[in-house]
This record gives sequence, C-alpha cells and structure tokens, in this order.
Amino acid sequence: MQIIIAGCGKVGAQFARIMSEEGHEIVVIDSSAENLRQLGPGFHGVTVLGIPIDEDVLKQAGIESADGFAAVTPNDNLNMMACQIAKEIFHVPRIFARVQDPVKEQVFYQFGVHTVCPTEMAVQEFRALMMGECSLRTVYLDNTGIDFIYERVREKWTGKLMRDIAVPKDAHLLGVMKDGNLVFFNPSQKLAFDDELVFVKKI
Amino acid sequence: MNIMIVGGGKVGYYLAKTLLSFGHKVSVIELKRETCQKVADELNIPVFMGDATKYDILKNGDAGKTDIFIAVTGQDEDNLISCQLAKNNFRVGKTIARVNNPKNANVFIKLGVDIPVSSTTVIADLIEQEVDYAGMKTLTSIKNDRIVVTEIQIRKSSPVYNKKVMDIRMPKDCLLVSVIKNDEVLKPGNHLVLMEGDSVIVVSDSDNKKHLKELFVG
Repeated sequence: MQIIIAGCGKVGAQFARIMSEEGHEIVVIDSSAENLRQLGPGFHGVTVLGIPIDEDVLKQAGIESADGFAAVTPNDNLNMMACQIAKEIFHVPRIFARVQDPVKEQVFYQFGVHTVCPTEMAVQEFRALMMGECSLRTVYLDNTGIDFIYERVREKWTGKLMRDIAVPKDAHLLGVMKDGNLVFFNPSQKLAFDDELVFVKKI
Repeated sequence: MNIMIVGGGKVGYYLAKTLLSFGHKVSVIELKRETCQKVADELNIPVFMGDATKYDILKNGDAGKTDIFIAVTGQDEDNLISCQLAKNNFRVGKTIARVNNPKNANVFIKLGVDIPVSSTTVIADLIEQEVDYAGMKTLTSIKNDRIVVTEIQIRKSSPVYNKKVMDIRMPKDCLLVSVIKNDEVLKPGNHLVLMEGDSVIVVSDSDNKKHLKELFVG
C-alpha cells in the first residue's frame, strides 16, 4: 500500500517505521526537519517537509495515488482538516485521524473521518485494570467496527444458563470470562456470580 | 443581525468594532484570557472565553441564534472546524472564514464554508487593480472572482493594432464587450478597426488573463 502519514512525533515515526518494514510505500509529512530525522536510518520511505493542510504539500507526498492517509500531528483540528482534504478533495480510500481530546472526538464523527482517541483508550484501559475488569475495546474488521462489551453476572444471572441470557439487538454473546479465561458460548454453561459475560456488538 | 466572531485578535477586534458601528449585535469567542478582557472592556459586548472548535463553547455562546458566523483566527484549521461545527450543529445562516494560506480558499469552499476570505489575495488583487499591468487593468470581478472585467489599452506594438474586430480571434470564455475611442463607447462591430489610444473592455474567465495579454498587449 501507498500510505501518507502526517505528523512525525512518537506515534507517527513508529507507525511509519513499522509500516515501512512491512514493505509498504510510506511518505511522512512534518513541518519540522528535526522531527523527520527521528525516523532514523532504518526508515526507507520518503519524507516531505511542510504542513499537511497545503494541497501542494499533499500532492508532493503523492496523495493523488495514495491508498491510505493517517493524520497524527499533535493538533486535533489540523488532523481533522488534513483528513477532510484527503477525503473530499483527493478521495483517499482509507483515512484516519488521531484526536487527543475525547470531547472533540465525540463531535468529530460528523465529518465522516475515522478517529482514534489515545486518551480515551488509555483511560478505559486504566479503569479496567484498576477495577480488575476486561476493558471495552473496539476492533475494526475493515470498515466494520466491533465493540466488545463486558457485563458481570452478579445477582441478576447467577445460576442461570448461557442460553437464558437475553442478547441485545445487533449483538452476539461470545462467551464468558471465568477466572481470567474465556469460555466460548455454550448453551448449557452455568453462570457464576463473578463471571463476566462477553458480548460483541456491531457499531 | 446577530454576528459571532471567533478570534479577538487584531482582525477580530476591529471587525467587531466596525460591525457594531453598523448596528449589528456582535459577540466574540476567544481563547486567551487577556484578549477576552480587552475586547469585553473596550467594546462592551459579550465575549466567551474558550476554544470555538468545541461544541460546548459554541452552545454557550448561543451559536444557534447567529445569522453570520465569522472565524478570523490565525489558524486555518481552527477557522475551518469552527465554521463547520457552527453550520452542521447550530444551523447558522452564513459562515465566513479567514484564510491565512491563500491556497486554502478552494479547500474551504469544498468543505462547506460559505465565504472564505484571504487577506493576502484581497490585497494582491487590490494592488493588481491599481497597477496598470502593461496596459491591462482589472475593473471589477463578479461571481466570486471567477469572472473579471478588464480594460486593455491598445498600443502600436499590440498584435491587434490596426486590425478589424472580426479578425481578432478571442480565446474561449472571453467576450469583447466594447471599444472606447476618444471617450466614445462603441459597439464592437465587425468592421471597427482598433487604433492606438483605443481601449477595449473584455469580460472573461479569470484564468484567461494571460491569453488576453498575449492577444491584446503582445
């Protein structure tokens, strides 16, 4: 794939190196030459010095034939604008923006750009670790997002069988976490107080 | 009209002041505390401190009642996003955004800003209109600057000097509207001959300036 990465901080540089090692054609855009040097000698892609909300800079990076575009600069609004240009003007098939501010992320879905919020991900992870629970995670299978939803059995379902659980619409009961291990769905599996049901739900 | 301005810096401040003098109801959203203070004290208008690219700030500022939403910060990305949020979520009447990088003007239009304003382009255009560009002068432009009306003086060195109007091959999307001879406005009839000191008035696509120059000036 031919991929453009806008922003060469820690995330951008690491993402660029990994994708480059996997054999993809990578172009990294950053307005700081120093940031671009972070890529190191192991990086075999191309670098472009400039801001990613300039059509000429994007063209120089080969956006007209790019398969993917990821905006990971530290500026949320810049990422959103760059992604919208990539989407609406250059029609790049796969576009992602990093948005650090969770409040903004909730609103930015309206621009039709897929966003990733590392702050929200870390908070969810910490919360889950602290509470000894599984964390809510979203997985993407191509264009379909799947949420993993976890729910403790507690008083509500203790002693019941898995087949008795009412599964919400659009969701599937994947199985149950017992003592830290996943047991796949089995209709006659009995549920205990501390078990945690695992649902998968299409977004 | 209710006008909301994003950015209370020099442009925002004087814009607010000017619009107030026309009798409009103006409010300002600004990120920096000191700037907010200054605008509020000097203009005596509602000033909201915060990031105008956030939904809640726009909501607090009553963006829903805004007729015209103008974003004039020094950051194109902030101007774009705040205009988009205002338009999508608060149905403001018109959005106007300052474009710092002139190249972004088209991007703004494609992404839904009603009127992008590039001060660089405005100044450059003014200068160009003032400066007699080798005998070519832009009189006015219409349809969002896509169509221009140009006055061109005919000199002896011009390729069309001493030629009949019917022998001039006008480029596509260019129309010879009139010929001015000795302060007399003439219809560009086929047999009219262009002489030194005549002026021609041409309406054309703004991209065609170069062609017009080659044709009339040489």
